[in-house]
Amino acid sequence: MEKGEDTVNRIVIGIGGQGGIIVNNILRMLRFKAGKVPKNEEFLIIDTDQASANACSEVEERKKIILSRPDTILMKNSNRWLPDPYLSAAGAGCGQHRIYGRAMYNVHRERIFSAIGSAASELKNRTGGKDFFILMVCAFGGGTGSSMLLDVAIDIRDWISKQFGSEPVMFGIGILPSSKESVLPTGNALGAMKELHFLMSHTEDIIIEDKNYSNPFKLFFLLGRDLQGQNRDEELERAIPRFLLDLGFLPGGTVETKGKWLDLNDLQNRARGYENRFDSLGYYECVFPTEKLFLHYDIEDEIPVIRQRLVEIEAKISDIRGKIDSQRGELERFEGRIKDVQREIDSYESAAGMFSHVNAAATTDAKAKLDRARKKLSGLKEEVFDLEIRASDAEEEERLAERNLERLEALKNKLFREVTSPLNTRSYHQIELSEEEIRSLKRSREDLKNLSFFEIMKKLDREDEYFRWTHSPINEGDIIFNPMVNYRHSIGDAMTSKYIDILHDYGFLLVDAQGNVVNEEEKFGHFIAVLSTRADNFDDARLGGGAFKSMVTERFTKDADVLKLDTPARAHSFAMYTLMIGVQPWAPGPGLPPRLRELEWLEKAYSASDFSKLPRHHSLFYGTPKQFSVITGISYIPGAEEKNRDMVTNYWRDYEIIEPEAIWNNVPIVLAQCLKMFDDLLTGLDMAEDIKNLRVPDPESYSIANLTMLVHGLENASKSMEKVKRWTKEAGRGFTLLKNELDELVVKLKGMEAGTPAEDKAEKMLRMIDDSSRNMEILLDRIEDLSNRFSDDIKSVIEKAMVFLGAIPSEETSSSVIRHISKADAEISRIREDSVKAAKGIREIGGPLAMMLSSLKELKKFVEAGEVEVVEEGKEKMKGEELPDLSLNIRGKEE
Amino acid sequence: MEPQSIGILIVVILLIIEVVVMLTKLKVDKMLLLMPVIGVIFAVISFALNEYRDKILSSLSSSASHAVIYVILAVGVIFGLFSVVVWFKGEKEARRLSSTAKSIDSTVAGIESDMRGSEMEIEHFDDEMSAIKKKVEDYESKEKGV
Repeated sequence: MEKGEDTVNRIVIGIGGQGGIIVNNILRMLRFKAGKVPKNEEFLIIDTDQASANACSEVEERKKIILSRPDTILMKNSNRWLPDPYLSAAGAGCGQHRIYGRAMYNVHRERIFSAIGSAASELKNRTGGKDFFILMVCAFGGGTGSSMLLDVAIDIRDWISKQFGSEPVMFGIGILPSSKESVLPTGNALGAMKELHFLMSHTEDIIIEDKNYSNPFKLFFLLGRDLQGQNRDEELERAIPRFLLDLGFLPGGTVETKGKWLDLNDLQNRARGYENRFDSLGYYECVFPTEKLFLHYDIEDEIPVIRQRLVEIEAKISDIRGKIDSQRGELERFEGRIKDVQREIDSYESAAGMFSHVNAAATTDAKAKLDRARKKLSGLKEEVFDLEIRASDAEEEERLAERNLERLEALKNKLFREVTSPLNTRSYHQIELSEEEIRSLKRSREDLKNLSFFEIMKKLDREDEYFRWTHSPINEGDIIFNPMVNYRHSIGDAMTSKYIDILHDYGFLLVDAQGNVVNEEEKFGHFIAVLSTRADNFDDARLGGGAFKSMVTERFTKDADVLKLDTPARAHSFAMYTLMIGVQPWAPGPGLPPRLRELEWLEKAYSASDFSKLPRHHSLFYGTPKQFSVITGISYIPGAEEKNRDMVTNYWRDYEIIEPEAIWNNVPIVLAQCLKMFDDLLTGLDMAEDIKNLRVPDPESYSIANLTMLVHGLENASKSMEKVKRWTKEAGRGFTLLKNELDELVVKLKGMEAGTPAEDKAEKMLRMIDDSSRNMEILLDRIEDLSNRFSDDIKSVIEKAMVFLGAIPSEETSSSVIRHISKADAEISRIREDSVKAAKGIREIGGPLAMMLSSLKELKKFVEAGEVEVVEEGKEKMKGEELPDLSLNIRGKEE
Repeated sequence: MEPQSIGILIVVILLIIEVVVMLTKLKVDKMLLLMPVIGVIFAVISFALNEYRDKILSSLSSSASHAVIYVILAVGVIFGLFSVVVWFKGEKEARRLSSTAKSIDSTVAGIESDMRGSEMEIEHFDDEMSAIKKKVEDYESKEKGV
């Protein structure tokens, strides 16, 4: 991070409930670390739910833009296109309806802008700088954040550009719903992703009616709410602020760092060329629990002191209680005494005459003293009562203090448990300490403060463990598998090895010495690992940053960097922040799961909504058909709000989150599926043909052994026939599916203006298409031949078997022979029955196969549009022993 | 003047001094003052009889006249002494009552100061226990931060 005056103005905007929470967390952490918010930073939240906005206690009230729901008349007047069912929303905020969120934005647009505009102007006045960095955070599942994000981003970018003369640098963070969330938010997330991807794919300026519809974001980070099936909300809410503050994207809260390592400009440069793709963040930290340990020690030392004091207090309170009792008795006694003395004085005074003497002054004095004592006494009686209550209260307090002591004891035990058996996750590892280590470290606790993480581990004789948890994730490359989103880096993780073999044979991918799949097409753009710790925790020799870089760039990314950040404050922590720039969320091929696993449940939820319900998942371009029409080229009808709205919905329904060029990567995978299916089909046909080779003994040479052999053969043939019957059914389904995939691919190639593939790729694809076509022709011939004679072949085998059975001499028909004959008859009738269905199945496979042939020809035309040179090459057939699986299961082991 | 008269005169003077002292310094009741006054009168009579014994008591024998004079003087002295005794008794009783009242007052004051001490102690315990509570809360909040 650069030192010195930072004049880049930063605005962080949290939209919707979760966006607000994240902003609130950032502010809390910033205030905790720095005590104040730097003058070049402003934090705003936009929310439609008063309650969730109120929960953001760190955000100034004037920086909360809370949008109230307008009445339905105003809503309709401002949004003619809004369907009646969405004129109001159920539940809080936008009711998780994105379309409602857009309508709300249209109503409150001016208010939002005046708030953001005044925040920007205030910043400019404070710092004098005209450069702005804007960070927008929201959840994609809700109604408010996901619906307003894009409009706010576009409008702010335009406003700041016009107002201050320079385009702001905008980053976005979108949080994807977990697999356990309901259909509505999950479907919303796909709707938001589609719209965001659409916008991101427009990198050039598209100005329509003074509004620029090009991608406003330099980087857009996608983060998931569940990772590997576990809810990580808490981790996410903690990690985002740490990421932004620790790495200095939001200065002020950062821990002190030495040297320059990565700033906004560096990051933008590294992201150049990948602005149209998504990004993600990763976080991993290994810590030595010094703070927990010190706290444990402090509490351990404090408990006996407090306990001793409480015992003393308890004794003293009971002492006071005793005193109070005796004082109460004393007071009562003195009350009587005063009365007696008073009486005596009275009688003394009453004595008069020659034989008595009264000292008036003394009696007056005594009376005064008595009076004073009496008054004090009545006051003291009340005070004794109060004191008794206070003593009871003090006893109660003492009991509470004892409970507090128990709490402290529990806290000590908790800390002890946390230190001895920490709850470690994939992104957080705390060093586990034994009871003995805790005791031994206590003796040298003062030294511990100055020692580095590495030195402490060395002292504990656990050096290897230190390197395993801090340096190995880099030199073994584990850190790349730790993003805060579910992402498959390699096609090899998703696809069965047979397909990988075919693609490898045709040169579409490589397999390294360890058997890992290497595929240039699926590498993401840039991987940056920032290692943040005190300098003496690094051991360059063990870190292996260069090896990591070459391993990662060979298999997963086009470029990678490992940056060391010397953070003196991180003496006992080793943090690794990772940035994945330019990821490809889509599936690498038809039938394969998407790389971004979140898309699996997002797509499922989205497809659960029929056309009438789809508008609730969408926002962008509703009410702006002209802009939509200019950008997409789809014509609209001015004034026909309903039709235009349906046109937008239709567009979003069919929109796929994939780059047009990436469609070409699907072609080899579909062709590999074709080739594998054809090979499998050939194997199946061979097996069907084998049935007729059943050995029937000569009727003249009857023996019980021959009969047994025939029955055994018939049983096997019956089983094979059953398999062939089932297999033909599956094959028919598989080919129909494959044909659909092929057709879909052709449609995509037609519709997405995918251009033409590279020359070398086209050549390989053509070779695959030709091999597939040739195999198909062979298959069609064999199917025709086999289906023509299959029934006759089986019939002749059955007849031979019947002849053998008929020729069994009557004197040989013992009970065992009769059992064999009955068994053989049953198998024969089963074979006869199944053979009819199998023959029909074999004949029916030909239909989709013939249609596939035409689809392949069409595909060939597309490929040839760029490259027409065809190299004919023979292809070795692969033959299996068992009937192949024709269910078109391309997915690999994880499925 | 014969020595006997001088002695009686001294007694008279002493009784007068007693009257004056009781009247001025001891502020005794008028009724009680009557007694030394009577004593003085008797002493004066005794003096007068002694001086004019030859004329007034000539009818009596020498020893009888002396007896009369001494008896009258003794009555005067007894009156004087009795009044002192009565005064002393009254004074003693007054002192006793006064000191009793004083001791009650001071004991009550002692109880009061004891109670103040207990109150302060309880206040101190309250503070201490609040400090313990705060300390526990501090530890708990620290625990959340680590």
